[in-house]
Amino acid sequence: MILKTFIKRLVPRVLEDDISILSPKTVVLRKAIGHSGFKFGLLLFILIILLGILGPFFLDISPYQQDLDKRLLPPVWIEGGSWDHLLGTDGNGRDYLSRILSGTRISLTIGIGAALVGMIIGVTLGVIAGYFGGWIDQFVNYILTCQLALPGLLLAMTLVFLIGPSIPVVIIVIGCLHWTLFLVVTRSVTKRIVKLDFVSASNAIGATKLQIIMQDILPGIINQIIVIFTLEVGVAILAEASLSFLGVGIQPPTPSWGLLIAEGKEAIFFQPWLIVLPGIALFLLVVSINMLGDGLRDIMDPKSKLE
Amino acid sequence: MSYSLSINNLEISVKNLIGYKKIVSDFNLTLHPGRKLGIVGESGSGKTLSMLALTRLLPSQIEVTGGSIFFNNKNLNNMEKKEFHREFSGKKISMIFQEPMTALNPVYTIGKQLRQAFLIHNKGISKKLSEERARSMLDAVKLNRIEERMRQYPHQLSGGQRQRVLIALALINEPEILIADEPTTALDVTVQKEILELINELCLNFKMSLIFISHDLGVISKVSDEIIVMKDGKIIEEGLTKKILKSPKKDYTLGLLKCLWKLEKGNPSLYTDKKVPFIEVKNIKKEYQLPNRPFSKRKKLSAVEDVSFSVFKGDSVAIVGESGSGKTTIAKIINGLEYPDSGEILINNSPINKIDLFERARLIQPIFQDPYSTLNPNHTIGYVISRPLIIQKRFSSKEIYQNAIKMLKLVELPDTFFYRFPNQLSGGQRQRVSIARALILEPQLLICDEPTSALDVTIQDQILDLLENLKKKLSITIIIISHDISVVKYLSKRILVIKDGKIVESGFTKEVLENPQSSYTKELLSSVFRIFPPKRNFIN
Repeated sequence: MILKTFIKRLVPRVLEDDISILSPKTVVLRKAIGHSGFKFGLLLFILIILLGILGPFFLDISPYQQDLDKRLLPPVWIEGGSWDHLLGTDGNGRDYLSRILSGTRISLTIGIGAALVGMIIGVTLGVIAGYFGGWIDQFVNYILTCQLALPGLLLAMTLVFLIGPSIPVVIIVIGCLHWTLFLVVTRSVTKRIVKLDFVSASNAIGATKLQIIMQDILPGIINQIIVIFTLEVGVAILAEASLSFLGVGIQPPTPSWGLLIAEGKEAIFFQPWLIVLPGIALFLLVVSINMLGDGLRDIMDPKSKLE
Repeated sequence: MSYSLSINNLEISVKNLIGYKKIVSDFNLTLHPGRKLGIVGESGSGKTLSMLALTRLLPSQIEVTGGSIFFNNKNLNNMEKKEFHREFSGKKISMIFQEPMTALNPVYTIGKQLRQAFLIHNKGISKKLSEERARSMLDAVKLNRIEERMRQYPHQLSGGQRQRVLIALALINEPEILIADEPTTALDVTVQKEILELINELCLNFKMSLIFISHDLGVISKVSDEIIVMKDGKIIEEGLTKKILKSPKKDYTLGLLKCLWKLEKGNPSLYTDKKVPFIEVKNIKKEYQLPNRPFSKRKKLSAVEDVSFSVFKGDSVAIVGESGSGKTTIAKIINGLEYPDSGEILINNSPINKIDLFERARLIQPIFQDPYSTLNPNHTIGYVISRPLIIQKRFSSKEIYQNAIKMLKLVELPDTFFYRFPNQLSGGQRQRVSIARALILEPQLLICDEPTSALDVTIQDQILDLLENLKKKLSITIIIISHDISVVKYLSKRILVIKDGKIVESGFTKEVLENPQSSYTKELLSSVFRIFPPKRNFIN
């Protein structure tokens, strides 16, 4: 209730449904407040980030500390669990809660890092192809076709296997395999913007190509980039989990969710929580990010109605 | 067959979160068989909405909230939507829309679409009969090569031909009332004339009554016996066409007419030549390559063929032609935004491609047609106007700010607009901003590419006045490009008529308009619907 009145004060409400009085930022803000999926996704995402960053500080158990006396303890709500280890322990007697919380950091780092790498590659190529057109566009298209024809996970496995697994390598490899969406969208939006009169006007006042790209084109595609970025974060997190599960991603004993699932798979019929718990964590994170991305797309879309 | 249509106190509202907001109110109309009624008004005046309410085609958030529509003493508002469409749509009331490009289904042939429209109201009729009917309709709308047209798809037809097909579609079930919603706005002037003549003729042949919607009084006066003038959702004046054109009662109608009269009169206060060639265009040619199709020869489209002319300092030159005649390409080439395949352009005797970007920017500035794409939606108005100075890097930020404010004043916009975004402005205001952006570098030449064609008549008038004032105040040279001869007449001293990338006629505006030499110019002139001011000038 208090929050609602606060929000109402934050955003000027116009009685008549006349969007033209509002500045673009206000419109986006008002749409964001009216979008429940977006709010839920954002809340969950922030919660997970906070847990990932702050959680380990509150737990005094290290995720690496082994205690072979207490192997495979069940979580506290199952018979035999103890309050010392809320989510139980794994096969080496390491605290599972602590491992999952530390895994959040790994997943977020790799997800955001890989999406950033992909964004830089995809947006650069997309803007260049869309702006210059001609043979450059055809060349970029050729690269895109090649990339789409490659089996992503297989290639990632090979690359990580050849270079040697470490977090930066995993980030770069996943990033280099997830730029196609950025490219396709920025290329088509850039092509549309380049034809608009204000780009010709910028040309006529003597703006350089770089100025036009940075000041006229990028602000116009930033909305789409943000949306794809969030979706790609989700995809990258899942890719990391798959790689780790297959043994070519994050190496033990570093706690990564994919690795936790891989380590737990032998005990799937006897200690199912070893797989279910990191699975839930993965699910929640990806769902929150996807809802955030979906919400952003609705909010940023100029055609969507103001509610 | 006699019938009557009457709309009483129609009220249309848009539904939003808070409740209903009226957008049309107190709309009254009676239509008798064989009458032709015109509704004129600016965009947003509710003229289209009230007709959509009549045909039950209102978009989902907009509703009829009051009043009644009677057709032969039957209240149409009480009818189920489904029943209405079965009984009335196409059969008694038919509508033609503005965009001939999108109103036809691109995946069916013309013949099939016509047959389908016929079958909806005549179930179980044989294919042969319906085809016969479709052919006779195409014949009625005067399309040539009917057999071929029947098998063609919409994209194979020109805009005018598509509009004819749409008219055939609307008439195939012999409606009693035809509603035409700006049917010629998207067409070239010469085509517009043919379509209007066709509509007039068909109304007689089919004994239909007509409701014709347009923003253009000139067009309306050609097809209607009675006129309704609308503004902000209300009827402000109605009466016989002749009477309204002669002695309008309301100021608004008078304003609309004055705009047209002024354009008709021409402008006496134009600059004289100083005989200093400022720009010389020499034999420019430009070809565009059409998109490549595999296994076929590359096709080329020549947009400009061997055009040369010169513009003097303080001169105002108009380039007139239909869409696709290459006039915009010429403008872009002069502005350095496109390069000619051959030929050259000299500015103050130096070729344009030798002048550096900043220098060129201070010499020539463009003004574009579409007020909605001319401003970057992500930049504030202040930034848009001051950006030329920022890019040229010759001024301090204080000077830039002062200059930008000065420019806002010059184009008669309030200072407060400095921090606004383009989406908070109307079309006319945006066009003012783009003029301010063009003028802040104090260029010597302004190239206006259809600066007013996307604007309402009264706004158009304001922008033309502004350009005229600026021209006097700053003594700049203007090249104005338009398809509308009346706009050109008002603003230009000399005129170039262009067809298919070639100059077909040039000379002083007055001479060209009074005594056109080429047949194309004559055709252009005859297809502009003019409204002459009354001899006795009772306004001033």
